[in-house]
Amino acid sequence: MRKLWYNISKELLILVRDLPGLAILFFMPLLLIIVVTLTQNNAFQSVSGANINILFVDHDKSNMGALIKESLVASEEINLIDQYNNKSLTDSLISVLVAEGKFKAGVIISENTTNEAELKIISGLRKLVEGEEGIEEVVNIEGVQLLFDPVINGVVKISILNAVKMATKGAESGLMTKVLFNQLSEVIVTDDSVSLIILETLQQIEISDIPQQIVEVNDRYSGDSSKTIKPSITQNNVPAFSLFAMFFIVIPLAGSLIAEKNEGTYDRIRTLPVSYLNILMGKTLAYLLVCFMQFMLMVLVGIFVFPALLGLPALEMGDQYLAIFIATIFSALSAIGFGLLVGTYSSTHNQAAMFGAILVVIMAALGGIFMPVYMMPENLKIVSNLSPLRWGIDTYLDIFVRGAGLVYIWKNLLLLLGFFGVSLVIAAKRFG
Amino acid sequence: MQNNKPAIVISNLRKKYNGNDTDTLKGIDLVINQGEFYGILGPNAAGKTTLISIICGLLKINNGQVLIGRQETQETKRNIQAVIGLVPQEIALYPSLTVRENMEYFGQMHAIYGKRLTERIEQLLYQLQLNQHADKRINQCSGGIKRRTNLAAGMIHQPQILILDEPTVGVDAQSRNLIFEYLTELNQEGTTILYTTHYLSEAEELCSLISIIDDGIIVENGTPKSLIGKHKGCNDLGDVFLKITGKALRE
Repeated sequence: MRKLWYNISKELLILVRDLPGLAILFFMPLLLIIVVTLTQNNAFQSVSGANINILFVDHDKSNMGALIKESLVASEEINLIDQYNNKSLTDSLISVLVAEGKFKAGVIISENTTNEAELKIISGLRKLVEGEEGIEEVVNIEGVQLLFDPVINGVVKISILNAVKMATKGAESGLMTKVLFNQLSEVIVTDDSVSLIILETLQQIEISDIPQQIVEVNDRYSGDSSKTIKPSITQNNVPAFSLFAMFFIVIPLAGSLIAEKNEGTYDRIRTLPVSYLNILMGKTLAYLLVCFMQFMLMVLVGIFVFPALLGLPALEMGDQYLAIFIATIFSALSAIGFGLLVGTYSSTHNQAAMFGAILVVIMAALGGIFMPVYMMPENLKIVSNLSPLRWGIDTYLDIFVRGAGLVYIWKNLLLLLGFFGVSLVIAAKRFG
Repeated sequence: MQNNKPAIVISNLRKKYNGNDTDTLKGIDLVINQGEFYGILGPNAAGKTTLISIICGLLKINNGQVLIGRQETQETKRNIQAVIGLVPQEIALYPSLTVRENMEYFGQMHAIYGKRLTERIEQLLYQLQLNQHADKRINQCSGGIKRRTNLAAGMIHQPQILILDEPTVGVDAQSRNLIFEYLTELNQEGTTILYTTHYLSEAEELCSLISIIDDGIIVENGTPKSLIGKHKGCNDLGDVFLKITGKALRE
């Protein structure tokens, strides 16, 4: 028992004497809890909704359009946008903006929606009241079109879809009441005998006889259908979590730098006629190969194992192979840069492992891997722009879900490469 | 093989670490000629490792000058790297690589490749009796094998000046003897050796000249014999060392 006590004392003493390590032990989980809770809190609120910007254009310019707009404006979860860069929205502009992910959804109210809906209601009423056979069926027009960003989170998509359907339903009810009153007021005023028949008939009407859907809400993913890959959980998760896993290279890479520092190899290396940049590049290229193989393994699992063994949709690679290759190389370089930084500034392996691993989770949370960035509070959205994982995730989602090519993703690629470059220079300066 | 051409010239060298109140080195003047087997002795925290690190260009100096041949170490680091071989106090090797792989790596960093490298490795494996252990990983080797491989890695490029910082710590008598024989042979072939140790008998046996450093300054230097003769009542270098540096415990 005494020995156990001395062992505990020794371990505590070692821990206390590694103050930076101890600080990391307490500070990093604290930071993790704060960041993850902040991001997810907003996401939970969003089930009854974060303030999501949705584009809106009303070609109907009548009751239906106005009622749907009124209802959506009243919704807490949706913020309607009817102008972009001070210009009125068009169908094509909405389609492009949503396809590019600048907005998560767009609502288009088609022309004559109100007129067509009124005709359909009247036709239905006539059928009910007069029991007439052969009254021409009013064909549903494409009343409300709802466009979604292909990379939209499933929960958010359903939330928006429900909100728009509810608004449309509410608008239909309002319109139906109005039409019914108009029709009744016309016949009751003009002819007492007819009005009696109508009243008797109305009393016999069952709820089920009333048309349930007058204006259809048609939702689809925005973008070039020939290019856009069908969104699925696989398309979202395989690239995003591959990137997440890639960043865990921080632990062995930082560990290797720390081992060299602490075991004297670093001093010997500095007496060699080779620049430290060369040594770091050697590490970089070796770990780059590891990251690339790791990514390939994830992709192969997504393509073959998911559908065959797990009943999940298979990963579709699309046709942007060059973009995927370059994005993977640049993302891996960024992950390696992060490893170099952690290895440079940590003094023990434990510090690096703790600090590196938790920081990866925090950067992933900020990058939108657990909850989309657009659902985060505004201040976190700004901070998320500093996360290399955000740049990587955005790049992969653009390629794997939007089918985007190099022209579209180059900005994020530059950020990833820049981060690696800066990290390499810092590490080389600090060590060299 | 000694000659009067200087291999290392140190003048008025001062070094102060950030955060320290006093200088670690307080004006060192030292000339080591080519082919010398030079010992630097001193108690703990006397400044030996700092001096070696500066000679190797690993630390910046605050004042003074360090020349390797005619090259200033602080300015022409790359040029002196080919001339100097460092055997640090720690086992500065990659634990998961084998004895041979470590030697290969450090040889390649010195731009030695192919047949020349293979031959050099075989020569060192033979000289340091590492042949049987060549394919063992360092983390599976005994202390003696690690020390000998540490020495081999510092010698792979046949440097003109070999700097050894406590190269025999933790090795058995057999390995120590082997290292001594190897270093003596190397020195006879013309390699200048700068040697620090806490084992005073080693220095007495091996070194042709010795400097005793204490509290950042050289307090005594000369041949082992002359130092013993100079201090009355001293029978060996150990007596001289204690007389000069005192018996008070150091850090």
